[in-house]
Amino acid sequence: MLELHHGAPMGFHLKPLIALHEKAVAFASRPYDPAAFAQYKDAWAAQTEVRYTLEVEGPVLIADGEAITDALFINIFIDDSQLGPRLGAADADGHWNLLMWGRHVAEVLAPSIHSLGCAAYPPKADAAAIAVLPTPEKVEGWRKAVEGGSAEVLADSRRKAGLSVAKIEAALATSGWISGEAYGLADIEVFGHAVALPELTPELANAEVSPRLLDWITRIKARLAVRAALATASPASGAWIPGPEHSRWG
Amino acid sequence: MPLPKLYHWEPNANSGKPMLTLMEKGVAFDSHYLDLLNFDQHKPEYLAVNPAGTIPAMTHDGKVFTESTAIMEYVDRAFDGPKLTPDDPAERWRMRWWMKHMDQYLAPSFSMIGWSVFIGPSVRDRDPEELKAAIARIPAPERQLAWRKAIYNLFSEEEMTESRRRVALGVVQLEEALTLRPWLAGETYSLADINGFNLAYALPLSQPHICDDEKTPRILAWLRAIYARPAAKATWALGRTDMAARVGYLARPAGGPNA
Repeated sequence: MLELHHGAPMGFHLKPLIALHEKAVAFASRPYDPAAFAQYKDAWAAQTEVRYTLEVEGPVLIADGEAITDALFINIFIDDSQLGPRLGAADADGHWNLLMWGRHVAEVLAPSIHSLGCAAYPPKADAAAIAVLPTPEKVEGWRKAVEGGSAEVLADSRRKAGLSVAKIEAALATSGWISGEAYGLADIEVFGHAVALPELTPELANAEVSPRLLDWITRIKARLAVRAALATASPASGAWIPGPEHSRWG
Repeated sequence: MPLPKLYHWEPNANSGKPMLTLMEKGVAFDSHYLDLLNFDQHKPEYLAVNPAGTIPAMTHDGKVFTESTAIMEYVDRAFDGPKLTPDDPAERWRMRWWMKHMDQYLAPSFSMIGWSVFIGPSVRDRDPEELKAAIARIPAPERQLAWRKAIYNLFSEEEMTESRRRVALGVVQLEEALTLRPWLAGETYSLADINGFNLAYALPLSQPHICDDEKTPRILAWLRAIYARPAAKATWALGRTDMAARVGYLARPAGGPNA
């Protein structure tokens, strides 16, 4: 049986929970608190694809002994390998569009949401434990998360969130979904982070300036699978955790 | 249906990824060369195709596709020819994981060094007003910043040190991955290897202190195995500069790039 190791149902951790429920796949939920750092004692913690995931603290799916990481790729794996309704695009064009959205989330939406989220709801983590995390990116990510981020980073995050809101709003104009004619992996990929936009950036994401985004969030939240995913029990608090670093250049 | 049209620069980094993928699939394509160093990618005729002004881009079936790795996956799904995506879902996951790691973690560091030592010096001596106008035409503010840093050599020592650390880490990671499995995704040659070749083919030339036959034998054997493929030779034959011609060292037997 698949095992999903996850924190609170937010951001990257929410996405595979939704996909598993949408496909009605039986899985073992293994919740943990990322800020307690017990995940670094897992047998697979030193595997390159786990240690160096650009999500910094993302979920891990154990399938046939293999540790699968990165929420979008976990979801494509689940969709490809499990029975249940197909969530990915059937054609090459739709798959290209899904990957393009994944790139936008990884480089624009997720870094901004994690920075803004940590500023509003900083995680409580032990400084001495942070100092000995295995990569400089993890040490830096957790330090910034606990401290809340500089004014410069937060301003840049609000700028990026604005780009994402405009992109989502434009995409929804066609069919009411992010990519193609129906709900699918692209919606799940974007929703995991975009669901936080109305609270973290109310000036950008509200019923007046981005009505399609707000309506789309309401429609997705009403889905049974999404309600089940959002209700997933976890010892983690509702605090945000570090996410992908902001682009270093260009 | 008209042939797919690929707008590309040299078979190097991002441009080489869809070029080699199309060659491996045996897909005929209309090649449209853009000279990156002449800022062709920011001229109105190309911005009409790809308003972001990034290279490569591909037109097919009335649509425009951008971002090299996403184009590779499109090409593999849309056209007949040998499959470049593994059958096993776990290997497909690993292929995508490595492509993201190379594109979003390693490549920015590799290219910061490359732009600092090659791209910037290649254009820096041109008429300052011409350069200023060229930068002003770049659509995305992030790309304007990248070009400004390269042209005026504005990379800080701290940034360069971090990029060198990541390049060295990437070399260790690639060597380890190729020790665990014959190809990056697993048992078969895939898009991840095409991506990786474009990232790493010049490593033994640019970073010989960390990447050579003695220190990283798996990487060297992997690069030679890929360059031995007819599609790779055909792709690099489309290069017009000495930068692409460097790949020829991989046709020589083990013993170091300058042996």
